[in-house]
Amino acid sequence: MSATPKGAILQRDKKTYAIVPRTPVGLVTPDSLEAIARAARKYDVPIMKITSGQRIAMVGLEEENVDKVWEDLKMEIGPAVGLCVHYVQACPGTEVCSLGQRDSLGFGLELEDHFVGYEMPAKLKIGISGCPMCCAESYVRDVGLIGKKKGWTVVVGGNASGRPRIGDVLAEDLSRGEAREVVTRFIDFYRDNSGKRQRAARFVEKVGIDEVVKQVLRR
Amino acid sequence: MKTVHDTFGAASCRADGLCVLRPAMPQGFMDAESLMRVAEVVRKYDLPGVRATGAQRLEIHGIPPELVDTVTEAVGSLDGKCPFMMTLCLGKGQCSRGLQDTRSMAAALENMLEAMADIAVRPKFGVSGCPRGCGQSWVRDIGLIGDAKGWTLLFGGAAGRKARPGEIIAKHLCDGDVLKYVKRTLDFFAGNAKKGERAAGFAERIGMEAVRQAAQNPEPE
Repeated sequence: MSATPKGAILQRDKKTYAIVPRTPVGLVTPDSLEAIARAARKYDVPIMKITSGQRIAMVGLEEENVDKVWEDLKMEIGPAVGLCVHYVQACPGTEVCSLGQRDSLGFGLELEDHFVGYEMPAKLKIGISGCPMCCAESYVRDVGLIGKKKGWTVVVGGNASGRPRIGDVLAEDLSRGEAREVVTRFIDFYRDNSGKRQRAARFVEKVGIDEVVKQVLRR
Repeated sequence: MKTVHDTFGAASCRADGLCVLRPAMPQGFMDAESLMRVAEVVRKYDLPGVRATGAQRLEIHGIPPELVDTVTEAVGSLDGKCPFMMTLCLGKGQCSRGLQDTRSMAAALENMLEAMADIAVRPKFGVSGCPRGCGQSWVRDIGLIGDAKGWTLLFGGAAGRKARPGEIIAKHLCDGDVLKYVKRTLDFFAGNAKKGERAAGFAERIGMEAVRQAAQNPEPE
């Protein structure tokens, strides 16, 4: 197999590729939508789909077109394979939703900017919800944040796929700054102590949430 | 103006009085034309934004109520064919790991569900083409997971406030059986659920054995 083109995932036919432009917390602009639509037309992209990670996947690109599409899009790559922070998913929060208690979109953008691409033992997904309804699925992401009246709750070790696991609460009633600090500490602790390819869910399961709390919050 | 209830959540109003619209996007898929239309509308009416949601839809927000009809028309059609939220992965058609065809399964489910729009429950669906579950099947009210032998049907998952993995109703179902099982499960759920009850709470209250029986028996006792 020749080297995989930049930011591309080989598809079932072993010929075509999928790419995922970076759209932090799912926000897109008319410019990015048009760029995607234009590229889709120009290069005959057969499938476009919105993913659960709040991104738009362009699927079925010919190998020689991958670089050209990226060039036309003028968008960054949204990590979709590889051992790093893939995306931050957020609900509309106080920005738009009538139920929102915290600014999940704003905080999500801040965390996205900081963490996406960060090298990790395995892929890592973050879900940040503006109220306890948890529309950003915080309990089933590697790291989840939930906005409540008294502040942010941080949950870790959730997973929605193959071996699902509900995340454990790491800390509660945090200010935005404190929540960011706790998330950073957890991510560092996990990165430094987990085996390769071990997802946060398995790591928290193995270490135990009590020990995680002790290690992460002690310092 | 249409309300939440007559468009299955394709249009709704927010606390600030502004509205949200969801353009039609069957099973999360779209083409260049529909994407272009959305971009044009957003620019033309100077709307604050578009968001790709975890429900695999686009959401145009910040629409003043008086513009809702105009924007709706410009976008073409709204998301409304299927009254239920459904997330799916790419499946066998595209993904090299896919073992079952998620897209045709989702379309078949949507066809069946369209006729059940009046049902008293609003379950969310997740359809995944392999056991990795990228369609979020384990944390949806009703989940399907493809493997080499067919589909596994799950019930009672949730990803929200009361997060909980679903439990298995049956394994190795063929496409036709999936539809029958889902229909019976939904009828049983709707017939016995308390108002506003989600599958997770229902499964815990009634017990999975009862759900399994209802799903398997054409004539529940």
